[in-house]
Amino acid sequence: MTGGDALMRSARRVWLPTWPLWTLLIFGSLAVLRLAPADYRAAAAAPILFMAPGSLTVGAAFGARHGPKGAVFVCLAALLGAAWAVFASLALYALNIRITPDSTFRCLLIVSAALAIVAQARLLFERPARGRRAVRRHETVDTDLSDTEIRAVGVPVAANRTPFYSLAAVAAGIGLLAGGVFAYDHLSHPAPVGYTWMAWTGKPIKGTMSVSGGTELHFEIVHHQSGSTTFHLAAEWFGKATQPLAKPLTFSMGQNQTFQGTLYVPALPTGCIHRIYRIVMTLTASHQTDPLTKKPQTWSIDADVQDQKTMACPPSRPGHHGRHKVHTT
Amino acid sequence: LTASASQPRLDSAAPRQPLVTQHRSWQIYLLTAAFAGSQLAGVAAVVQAYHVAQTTLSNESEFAWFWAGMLLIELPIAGLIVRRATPRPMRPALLLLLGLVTYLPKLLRSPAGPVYHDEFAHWRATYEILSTGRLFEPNPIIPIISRYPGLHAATAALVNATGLTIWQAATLLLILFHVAMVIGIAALAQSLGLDNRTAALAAVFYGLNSSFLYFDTEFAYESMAITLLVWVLVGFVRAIRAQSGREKAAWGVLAVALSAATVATHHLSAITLVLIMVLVSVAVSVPQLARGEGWVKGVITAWSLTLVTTAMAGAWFYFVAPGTLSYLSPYPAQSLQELTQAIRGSGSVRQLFGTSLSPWWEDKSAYLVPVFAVGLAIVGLLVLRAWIKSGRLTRGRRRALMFAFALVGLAYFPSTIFILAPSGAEGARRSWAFLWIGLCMLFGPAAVWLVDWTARQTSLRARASLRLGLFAALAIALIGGVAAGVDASYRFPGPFLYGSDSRSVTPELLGTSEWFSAHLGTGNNVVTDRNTGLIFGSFGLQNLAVPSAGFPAYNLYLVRQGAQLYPPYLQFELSGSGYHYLIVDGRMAYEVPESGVYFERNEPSFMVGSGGRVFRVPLAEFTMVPWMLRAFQSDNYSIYRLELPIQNSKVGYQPKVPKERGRLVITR
Repeated sequence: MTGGDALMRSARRVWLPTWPLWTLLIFGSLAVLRLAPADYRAAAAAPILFMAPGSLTVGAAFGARHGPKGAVFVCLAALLGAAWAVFASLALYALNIRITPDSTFRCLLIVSAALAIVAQARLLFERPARGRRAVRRHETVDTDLSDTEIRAVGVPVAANRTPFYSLAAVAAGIGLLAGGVFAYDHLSHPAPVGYTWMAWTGKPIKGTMSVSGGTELHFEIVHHQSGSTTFHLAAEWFGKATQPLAKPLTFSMGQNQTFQGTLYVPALPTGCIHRIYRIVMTLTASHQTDPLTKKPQTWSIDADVQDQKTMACPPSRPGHHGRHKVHTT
Repeated sequence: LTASASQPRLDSAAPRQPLVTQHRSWQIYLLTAAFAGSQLAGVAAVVQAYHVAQTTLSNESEFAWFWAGMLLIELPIAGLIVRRATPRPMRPALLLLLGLVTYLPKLLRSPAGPVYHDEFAHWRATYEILSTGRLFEPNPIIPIISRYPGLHAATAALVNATGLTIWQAATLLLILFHVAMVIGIAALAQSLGLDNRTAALAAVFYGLNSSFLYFDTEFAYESMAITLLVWVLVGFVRAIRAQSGREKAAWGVLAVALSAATVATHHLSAITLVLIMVLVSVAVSVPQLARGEGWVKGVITAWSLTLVTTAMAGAWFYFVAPGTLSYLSPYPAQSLQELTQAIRGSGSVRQLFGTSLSPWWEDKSAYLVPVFAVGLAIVGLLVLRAWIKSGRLTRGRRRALMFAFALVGLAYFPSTIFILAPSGAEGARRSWAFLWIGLCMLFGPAAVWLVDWTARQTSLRARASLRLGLFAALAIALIGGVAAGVDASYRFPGPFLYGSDSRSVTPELLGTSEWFSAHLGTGNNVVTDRNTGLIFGSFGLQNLAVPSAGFPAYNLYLVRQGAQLYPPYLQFELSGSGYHYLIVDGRMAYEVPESGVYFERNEPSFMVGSGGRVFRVPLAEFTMVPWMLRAFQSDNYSIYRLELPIQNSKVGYQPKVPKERGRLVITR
């Protein structure tokens, strides 16, 4: 017997009679695993999270008797583990406890401990008799069994090479998946389609802004296009006949450049008459056509302004001037 | 084995292996190398398919690469499984490999984040659990999913335990469910008494159903629930057939635990599970079918488990998810009505593959799938009949169970008619993933009989050509099954496709949503179209309006300068519910969405009918609408602040504008 074989045999001797307790201990190690680096933590924690409560459930259900084996056992245990994660969340919700990493772990630990106790107890009290003195129970073959099942009765499951083939298949499958994704990731991909945007910045504009002796409106232009583009920026008073509000600007923007801008709005001339005016800022790209409209590509943003009511102003008549209080938030 | 026996013989006097054994071992090495080579080449071809799809304009080469790859992957696995000489323990291993490798197409489709419509909704639901620590938080994209938190809770638990991102955890879980599904079908077939070879082949045939490669691998509740359902059936069947009371109890407990998880995960799976369990229980209760040793105990077990599952599902629908019935009920009635109208000549049926981007041979293969299924099902039924006659399927629980699962499978054929009804097509397609569970229990025995029959042919040529024919049929069924499922835009990456659920997310849309969240905060109530809403409702963490005939929020897109918002109550509903933002994708005025829907399925037909022209003038006039303020504009997206209800003072602007001048300053 080699040293490796001896070690395996001793490990089996320690593991088999008390596996539920060992499994519980492994599940408990999730608390320690949280301190591990993220990459290692995921690789160790994911199988523990699903396999430990699930295999304990199978153990608690079947005891020392023949339960599912091999791939069926692994799949069943993993799915039961996922089911326990669902039940734990539902239990926490029902108990009005916030679902957090800690609360979920504690809840699953309690469940696993209960299952481990049942599984261990069944293992202790239902252990089949061994040795020459053990009386072999007479087993009748159920007439409902198929030919295959009748042939399988009494065939030791461990006498095959299932674990080797299955482990090799899982390793190969994971390798192919990882290799496929790696290869795809390292192939050339088309560059993302670029775009440009313009928006107000600062406090969000809500409703009409009051203008008392003028105001400043801040905006941002972001250019996520390849290459440099020349833009023309204009601010206008919008109405039946639009009027320029400020002297237009022409400037160039390179790839992934961001420009901050400020529009200084002058004091409105009308004093106590609460008129609302719309300001429209328009950005136009030179030599760039909108593929849908076939017109020059433009971007625009609007703001409504009105003069602020002062103490000296007479109260406005209801229905005449509409909204009185101007809000800028 | 003694210690000496286990030692390898190193002495040179060891007897040489006979020539036949040596030849056989060389054969095995060659077979292994060829198999490994086919798997590697298959994966490489699938990767190439996705690369071609992403980098070139739509043509058929991505489909050719894809199928070359998938056939190189799947046919050798099927061939090894059906091979008589393959060792028994190798078949579960081959199924594990099949389960893992068939996840590759979906993994390449969305390696880094959600892509499909429903995935965004489930991503948001999981995010809500992680951020609020509570279940059942409202979902803005698909409201009903908030009442079925199974998948989200499991994903959140994995995120909490591992520190992975939501998408990484979801992918890990989905791979697990996909592999467990394949093993589950084989386990179910074995629990029905089928041998290892037939059971493994049944699992391969299950992989031909239209949902297997894409729909049931997406991050959505059905992907988890259908796997749970299969394993509930494994436990259910094993409990019914178990000889001892303890074994019955053990399998029964596992079945109940898994069915509880199914109920908490997906409505349709829960309903289907109850229906299958009822059918199985009825079949087991029929004395002419099932009476035999342990029959009464089997009947009691079947009905007990069915009643427990039904009670759990009923309680969930009544107390937790009362909206489920109203969510699901319109479809069957509507589709029946549509079919009746079509038969009477007063209505028209749905045009199959009308807007398909797939090549003709994929579409034609899809029509052959029911033909293939009919053929195999008939052979399967004849095999069962032969088993009954020869005494291999005696009266008892096993016969009743086989009969029940065959009935489940045969329901596939009438369900295919519903694919012609516009309202029933989606339901019919989704039902196939469930119905094929029963169908492949007939396919397995049928395929094994056919393969063994070809082996009995004395002529080598006849044997080879018959086997080639069987593999060709399998390949066509595989191609057709996938083509009958999701659209090509779902399957492959590619250039932007307006209104496509899976190809309409662009860096521009993500950037717009990021700007919105950063400047206006999360949790705003917004009105937008279906595809823009996917990003705003998921990563953007905004709340979306759900337009309907009673709440026609889409009318905002039809507002003209000076005209009233119709119906008049809409402005009060919008302002009362706190809808302050409207997000517009300017392309809607020029293009028809690939999905055929701008906002929701029951939107006015003139929207799509006009080719989007109906929006063109209103969108151009939005700057003149006094109660709308544009705060953001990118190449295609605009964000408007809504000032509702409309104030009289704001209707129209001053005819004269000020002459005062300000100043414009730009800094880098």
